[in-house]
Amino acid sequence: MTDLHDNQPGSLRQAMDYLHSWAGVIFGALLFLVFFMGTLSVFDAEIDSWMMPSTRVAPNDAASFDRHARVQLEQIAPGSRQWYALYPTDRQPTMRIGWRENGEFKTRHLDPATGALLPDVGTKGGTGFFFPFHFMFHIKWQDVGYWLLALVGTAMLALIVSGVIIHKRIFTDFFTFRPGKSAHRATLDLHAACAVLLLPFHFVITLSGLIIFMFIYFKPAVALIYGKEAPNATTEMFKQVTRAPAREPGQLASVDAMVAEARARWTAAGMPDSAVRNISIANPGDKHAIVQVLRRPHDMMSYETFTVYFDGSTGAWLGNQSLVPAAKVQRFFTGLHMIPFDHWWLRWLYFALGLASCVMIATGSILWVEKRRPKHERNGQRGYRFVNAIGAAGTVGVLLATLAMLVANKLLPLDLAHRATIEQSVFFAAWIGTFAHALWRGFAGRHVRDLRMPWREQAWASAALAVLAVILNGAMTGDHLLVTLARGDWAVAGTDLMLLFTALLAAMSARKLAPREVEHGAAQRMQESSA
Amino acid sequence: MTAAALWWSSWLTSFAAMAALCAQAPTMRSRMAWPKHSDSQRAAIATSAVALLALSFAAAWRADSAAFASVLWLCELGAAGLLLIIALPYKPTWVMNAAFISAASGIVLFAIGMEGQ
Repeated sequence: MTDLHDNQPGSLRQAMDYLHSWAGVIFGALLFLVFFMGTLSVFDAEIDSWMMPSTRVAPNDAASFDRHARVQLEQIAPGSRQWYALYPTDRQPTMRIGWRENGEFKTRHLDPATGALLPDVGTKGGTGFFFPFHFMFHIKWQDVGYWLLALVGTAMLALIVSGVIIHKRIFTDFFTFRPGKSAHRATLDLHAACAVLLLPFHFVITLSGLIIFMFIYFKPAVALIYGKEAPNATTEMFKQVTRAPAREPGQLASVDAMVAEARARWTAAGMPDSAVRNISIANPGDKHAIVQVLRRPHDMMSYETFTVYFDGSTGAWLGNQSLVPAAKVQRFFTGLHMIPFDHWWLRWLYFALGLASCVMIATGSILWVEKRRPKHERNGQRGYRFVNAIGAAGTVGVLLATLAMLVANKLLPLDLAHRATIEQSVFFAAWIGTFAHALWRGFAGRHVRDLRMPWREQAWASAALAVLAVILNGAMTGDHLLVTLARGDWAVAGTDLMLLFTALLAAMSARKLAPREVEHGAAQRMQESSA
Repeated sequence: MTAAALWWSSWLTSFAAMAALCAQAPTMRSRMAWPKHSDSQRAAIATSAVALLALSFAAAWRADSAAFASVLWLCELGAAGLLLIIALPYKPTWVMNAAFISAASGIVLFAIGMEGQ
């Protein structure tokens, strides 16, 4: 890989090497964050179940908007301008209601059998923390989080293309992995293998991720074309039915009847196996309320919901959603990325490939540091130690912070005020702590030459936290592994098992990263052998 | 049951296909110190690899629609390839034996799956 101070790159391969190295070091930590949180989001509903013990209810098909959701919403949010109800699924067994209050969107869980309000979960869980972290870094101001994702996604595409170009023997070395050789060679082989074998996955997941948010990225263009009528663009693209509130009170008709009609319409349209994903009601207390019934896209690749619109007061059918071709393409790529369909095998494959992508990014970070270390040490530069600290905190540190948050989820009292905020603060505090730890190990103390120390120590800490999380889940909720396995509660049991597997992998990685202070000569030979 | 048999068939044959592709590669044979193959032997292994790849895709298609099959197949190949290359340096004999067993059982499961449809 080319150093910043080398002569300007001449050949295409040299130029791509330069691009790959520097795009990698600049965006590596953010890329790891996106891929790691995305991998967790594959099982966000199961993580919800682990983090929200009160939602561990038995699945039930009897969920009803009129008998369950409406009763609660009329008590909690009678004057809200928007009501929302997410129907139960096998993965998410509770009924989730939502409403707008003071500009915020709030949610609660209901028992699907009785409609009773379940205790406040006091956490954002997988769907509320890890998933939004994946696509907008929890930065809402002026869509900055989405634009940062666009930058990271574009960098990933550049890394993919440049990586293919610089890989000299991409077909000859297709199956190459030499763990018995030097650590540098083994790391490079692992990085290349994860990259090449998963090339279709990386390309499609990155491109589809960018396409999902095309409506945000096209806002400037939409503003230019539509001017003051920019909100109409979305309405036209998705053929939505909208109307202004009448400012007169109205009585909401039977939403269950509307659901039944929607299902009949979907069946008539050639989709007999239809289930409702969610109900959304605009201005529920108004005479011109609109009820949207969205179909669950469980049996198709495209994330199309075939929304049916009803007059809230009369229950009369107002229209069906009809997507323009561009919107259909966007929905297809959204489905390809978010896997809303029922397909456990594919879901597990996405999870495994996501983890392999994280390994690819982490090994890339290690390679960058190891390559530059000999020259930087000769020149008295210490930048490589800073990059090493970012690499450690940006990879293993993220894992450690996630596990710290899961432990906090079990230790924080359920009735603690602002519990969800405190839990998230634990994540960020732990993450900052890993960076501080890695910096300390890189610049102070007796072991500054052991670049692996921050990685190793954080890996051991992660292993300990993962085991602790499993123990605490059993101790604090009574749902230890034997109980959940016997009950067939695979969401909680599966999360516990994955935590134990994480502990095992973290411990193995820590052992692999055994202390090794590289002498200058050996580092020089390493650099020459990998050229 | 039928879909499950076809999904398993798809996964097992994808693993066997990647192992066959690996086994026919001259650089891999040299690195793993496997006996050299003649050109005809190499062609036979390569042909069987392609056949297993096709069978893997066919099994995925019969289990689901074409759209799901494409995605599933590509993901399986990636995962199978990674599993192969990580295990191969440590237990080459076990991995290759597993590949033979995967090929045989994958074909049987495909037949069972097709019978049930």
